[in-house]
Amino acid sequence: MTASELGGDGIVLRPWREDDVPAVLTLADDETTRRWSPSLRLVTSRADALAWIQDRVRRGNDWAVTDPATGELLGRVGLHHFDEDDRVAEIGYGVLPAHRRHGVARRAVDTAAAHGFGALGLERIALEHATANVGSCAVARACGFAAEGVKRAALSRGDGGFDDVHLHARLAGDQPGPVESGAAPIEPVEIVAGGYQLCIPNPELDAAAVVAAVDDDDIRLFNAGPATVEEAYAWCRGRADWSVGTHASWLVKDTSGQLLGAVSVFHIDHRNLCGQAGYWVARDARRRGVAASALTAATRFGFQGLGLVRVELFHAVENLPSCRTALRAGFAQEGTHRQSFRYGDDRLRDEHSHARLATD
Amino acid sequence: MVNPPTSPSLGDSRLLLRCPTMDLVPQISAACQDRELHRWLEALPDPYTEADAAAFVQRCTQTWSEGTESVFAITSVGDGRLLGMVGLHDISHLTAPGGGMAEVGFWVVAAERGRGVMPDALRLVCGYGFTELRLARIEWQAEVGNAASRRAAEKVGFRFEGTCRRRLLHVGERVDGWLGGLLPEELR
Repeated sequence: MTASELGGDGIVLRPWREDDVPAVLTLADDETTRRWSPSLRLVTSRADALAWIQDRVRRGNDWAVTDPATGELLGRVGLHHFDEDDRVAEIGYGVLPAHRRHGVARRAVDTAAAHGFGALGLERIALEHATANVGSCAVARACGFAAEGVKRAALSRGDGGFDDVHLHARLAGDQPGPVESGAAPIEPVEIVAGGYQLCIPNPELDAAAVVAAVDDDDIRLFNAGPATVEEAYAWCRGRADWSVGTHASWLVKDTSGQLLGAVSVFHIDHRNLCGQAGYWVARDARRRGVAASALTAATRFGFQGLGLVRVELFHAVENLPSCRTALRAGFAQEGTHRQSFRYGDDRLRDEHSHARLATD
Repeated sequence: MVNPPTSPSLGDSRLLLRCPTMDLVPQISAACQDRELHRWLEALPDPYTEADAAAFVQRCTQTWSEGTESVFAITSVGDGRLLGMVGLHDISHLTAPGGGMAEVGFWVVAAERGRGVMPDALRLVCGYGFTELRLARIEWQAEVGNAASRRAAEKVGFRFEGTCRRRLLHVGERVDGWLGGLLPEELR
């Protein structure tokens, strides 16, 4: 099967040529590419690059994305796992480091998808990316690929570990884009604050420690967590995936990596520029100011990283340590909400509401 | 490189799972007359003949030797009768660090349904996939509405992961598919 040349919006998709070896090596030598692309991760020599090109030529429906004016190679796009009987395929793409952030991927995906639904008669094109690869998520949404689910541990990291994968798809007849969606995905960021680190939860690393930490009467009552290691895997995965764009969640650790607690900014509302903060601290780590430091750092990320103007915080009136933490982190008490939340003992309790503004 | 043993046998006190052989052709062919199977399994030839069953057995032997599929006939320990079929398909990335991937597929003979054959067989086959093939993830797909398939998958620990729109073909119609995944620590 041979790939044909396709014209796009300021780009041309052309079949691969053997003299693309240097550009493929440049692409494969890039850290971002190696992180997200298992096939290019294996390309380290000219011979590898040539074999990669020959494989793409043999499979067909895989193109070099080029600049029509200069002929320069900008990236790659292909329709993989092409099934003629099923009329489904999966789209994959990548952009050379020097040409990122100019909409190359979006235009390449648009062009290849139009060819897939048109000349190739496809009914469905899937698009999969690691959940942490928020740039790819934005391309998927912009090109009309609706989110369908999360495949857990489905993409090899190359070191024995696996990333969760967002599954998107566009069907023949779907709008070419963009997908209606609420929040833009948030890029996960780890933060060092004082003697503490705010880390992205990692199921393999953290699940057992989280279960041990939340196996505590106070946490069970005020901020119940996962009861089993299995639940903790799901809990960690959910908190590591910020791509829904409505939360930023961390585990708090000391410099040796010991788990001290958790902190999160959630219910992020990009229209009203507000969010809500929550936290818990493991029993052995209490009375050291861990919660106030972590809350301060997470809130600062909310203001500076996400542009929020207001972060709110609620705690049961009886939870006096939480009240002290809120005040220490600059959250003024604004009121008392009566019978506003059902806690771990299944009782509705009164809560204090606190808030901190970006200008405080 | 993981070298799977050619057609191993798996089993417990009730079930014996082994590579389908020619002696099972009449029973496979009889089981595949069931309209309920055709309702959910697009790949099944329709009408289904003994020649189709023989071709299926041949293909299983071949894919076992190629390492791309591990298909097991589920038989009764008592009298050797066929109870169903279960397999790991699209086995890939076996040499990847951390392990490979596969997709599970299965059916139960009409007269044997409702006795928990499939959860037990699925548990054995997924256990084989994780320990012998060192798989990192096993996927399950079924047409939306195939509740019996979903029940069996969820019973052994598969987690529901999404709905793939118009992913599957059903008698020439495109239909939505359920997607699930099982990781080694979740098998139960």
